Amino acid sequence: MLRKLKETIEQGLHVSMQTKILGLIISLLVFIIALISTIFGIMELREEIEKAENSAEQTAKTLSYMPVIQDYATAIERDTKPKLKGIADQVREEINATGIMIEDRNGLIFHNVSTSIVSQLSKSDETYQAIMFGSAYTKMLGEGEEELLLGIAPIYVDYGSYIKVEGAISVIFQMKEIKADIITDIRNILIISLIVLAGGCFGGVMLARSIRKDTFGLEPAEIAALYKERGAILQSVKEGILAIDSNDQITMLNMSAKQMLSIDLYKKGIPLDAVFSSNNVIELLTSAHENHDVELEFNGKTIILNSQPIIDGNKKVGTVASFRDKTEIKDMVNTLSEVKRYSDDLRAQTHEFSNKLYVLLGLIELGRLDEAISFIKQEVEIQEFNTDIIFNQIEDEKIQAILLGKLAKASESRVSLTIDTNSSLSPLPEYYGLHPLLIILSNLIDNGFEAVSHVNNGEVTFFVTDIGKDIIFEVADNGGGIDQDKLPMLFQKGVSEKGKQRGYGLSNVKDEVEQLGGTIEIETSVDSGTVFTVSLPKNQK
Amino acid sequence: MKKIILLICILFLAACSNSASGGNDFPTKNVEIVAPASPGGGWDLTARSVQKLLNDNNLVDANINVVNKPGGGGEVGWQYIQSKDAHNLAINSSLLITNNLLGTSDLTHKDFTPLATLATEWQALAVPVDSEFKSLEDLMNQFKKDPKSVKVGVGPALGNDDHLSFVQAVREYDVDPKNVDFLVYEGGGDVVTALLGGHVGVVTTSLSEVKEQHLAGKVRILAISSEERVEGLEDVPTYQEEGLDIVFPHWRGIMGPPDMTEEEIAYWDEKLSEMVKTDQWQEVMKNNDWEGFYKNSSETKKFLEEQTKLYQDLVNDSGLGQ
Repeated sequence: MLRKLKETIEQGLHVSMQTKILGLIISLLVFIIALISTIFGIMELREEIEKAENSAEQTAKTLSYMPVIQDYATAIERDTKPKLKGIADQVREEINATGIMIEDRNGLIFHNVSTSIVSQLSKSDETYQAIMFGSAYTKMLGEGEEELLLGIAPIYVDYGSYIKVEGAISVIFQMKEIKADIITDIRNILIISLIVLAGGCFGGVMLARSIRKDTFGLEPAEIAALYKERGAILQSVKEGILAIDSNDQITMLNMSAKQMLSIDLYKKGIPLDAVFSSNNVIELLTSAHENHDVELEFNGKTIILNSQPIIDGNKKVGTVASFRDKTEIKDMVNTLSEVKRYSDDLRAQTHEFSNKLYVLLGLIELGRLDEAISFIKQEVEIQEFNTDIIFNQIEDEKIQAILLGKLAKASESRVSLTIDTNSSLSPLPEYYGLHPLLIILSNLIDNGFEAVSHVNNGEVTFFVTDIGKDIIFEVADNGGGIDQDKLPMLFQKGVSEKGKQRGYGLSNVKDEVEQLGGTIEIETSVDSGTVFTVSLPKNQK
Repeated sequence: MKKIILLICILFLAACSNSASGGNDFPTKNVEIVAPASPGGGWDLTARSVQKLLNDNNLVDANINVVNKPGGGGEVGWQYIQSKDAHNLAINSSLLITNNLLGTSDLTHKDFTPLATLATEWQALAVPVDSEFKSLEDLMNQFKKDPKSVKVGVGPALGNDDHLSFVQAVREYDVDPKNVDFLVYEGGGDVVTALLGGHVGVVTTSLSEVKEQHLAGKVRILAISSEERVEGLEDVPTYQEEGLDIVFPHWRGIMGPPDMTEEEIAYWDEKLSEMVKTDQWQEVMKNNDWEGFYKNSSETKKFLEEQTKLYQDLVNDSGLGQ
């Protein structure tokens, strides 16, 4: 039973908005109409009865003083019956009474009502009090169809020195006639009510349509589903998203934004300046223009902001902003560039080997076998020399890998990369990942290659040692050095002699070195070239 | 909302403290006795007598005023005290009952607090001294023979105690009162004049109206509605002595507004019972041919219920041929 009820309710909750509105309007209207009709009916009945009572009694009293009736009652003049009948009929017309009855002390002497009423009234002596005690009053008698309302008055005849009750006059109303009038009135009310009800239904349909138009034809339940979906989407996005309204109050903030902006206690509607202390940020967020990829420093993080004002007509009604953590982007870019560099290096190595194979092929085809043999020996020597140092003195596999890659690239670029024979390195502690080392060494060595690319006998020398507390890398070139006036800006972003979209290398190197708690030094001169010295602590603090 | 509740609480407390103090320090202001008629009548006389006696004997610690509110057979005055407090009293009589039964008023004794029945008059049935009817039985037999042969004078209106006592009498003789010719005169005096002038054969009226004429030998009182013979009229028999079970007082009493507290009722019981014991009150009664009929509040209430029943039977229908 209960379950059934519950099911019905649940089904009921899923009816369309139009049904809901119509159901409400119709039930309300029907309830009100029923209530009003009932109240009206009861009040009208009471009022009509009271009115009938008053008019019956008043009419009876008035008639009792009319000479025609007095004469008739005292039997002085009974020839006036036609005249009396005229008066009685007039009463019937004017107050909608059923008729009148006149009695003297001996009984009924005149009436203009049906015989059934006469016989009904003859059963009881309703006029006793009027005839006996001279009182005027109203009486209700009978039931249902036969219910009668009587207004009774004594016929007092004035004999000069005394007065005497000679009879009584009754004015008779039939309750069924009074009720019939009321039923007609109620029927009229009901007809009007039906029109109102129809109007209400029409209005309900129009209202439902209008609402659906505003909601793009979506039912409230669908809107609710969309709203939930939107919330889930926003929360699942990795970008921080924030929306503000026209009063610069935050209306929406997703999880990523909370984390990125370190907002712990978020409440809907908090003002923007309660979250951001910097006017700069607030200005950006409240500006009437779009902002693209603006970098901001916020709580020690670099954040990239995009904002889009919401324009309704000509007025800004709010702004939606998204945030990305720059550090994450940078890491991604770096990883990409390393992959590219690795593949470049591999390609270089392949190219280098195929070049050498072509030389060998050429020498063999020409029959100059001795020269071919000496070429091979020379190559092996160079290889062995470098690899000896790399594999015997530098024990860290990450550095080995980087250097092997760079040797291949040097060979292809026709520059010389020499590993200093005094180099020595124990395996590096775990926390020195491949990634920062690759950025540091790869950039410095590549820079060296570029510096010597236009110099005869250009040479880049690599040296590493971990004697002492620090690990020291040294990358030296015999290129043309760096201008003194460019030195201060050397590690800034976008400063490069290599054209646009460059100049991130040294800046990244510096960032990584500082991240690892080390330092970088530079020594340069036009004659002897440039030396970069990076020292990294062995023990991370 | 809170404020409204607080206000209701305060009003409630105020109402409580009011009624409590009303019980302890009653009366707190002037007392008003309403005579629901013009000055000079029986009600007015009763009101002024009560006022005078309560004042003269220092029974009530407040000024007492008499207010005349005539109209509607007492209706106007009674309506007036209905909305007042226990400081406003009104004189009443059987009209309080008959007005309602005869349809002229909606008020009944239940709409008030009856405080006391103070005194009564008796009705007398009188014929001219030279009438052929020497006794009540003679008269009643004549009515039985031909109800219309003797005209009856009453005044000032049908349905009063004089009229009703006669209706009761003829009904005891199985005469339909409807067939009796009642001639209605303007007042007790006119009734007696009509009797002396031979316009009516018999009158029913207050004893005081015919007492002097009886003593002067002009009329003969056939019966009196009292329980016992009346002092000074020892030759007149009561209805009961004449074989009819009729005792019909024309009483006067005093009542207060509805919902009086028990303390207030006790106060008036005490004061009024003391008042009727005074010699002055005895004198007032003697002067007006009234008789002591004192009943306290609870007795009066019971008496009024009995009277209502009696009047109902008399008024409602002929009670004959059924």
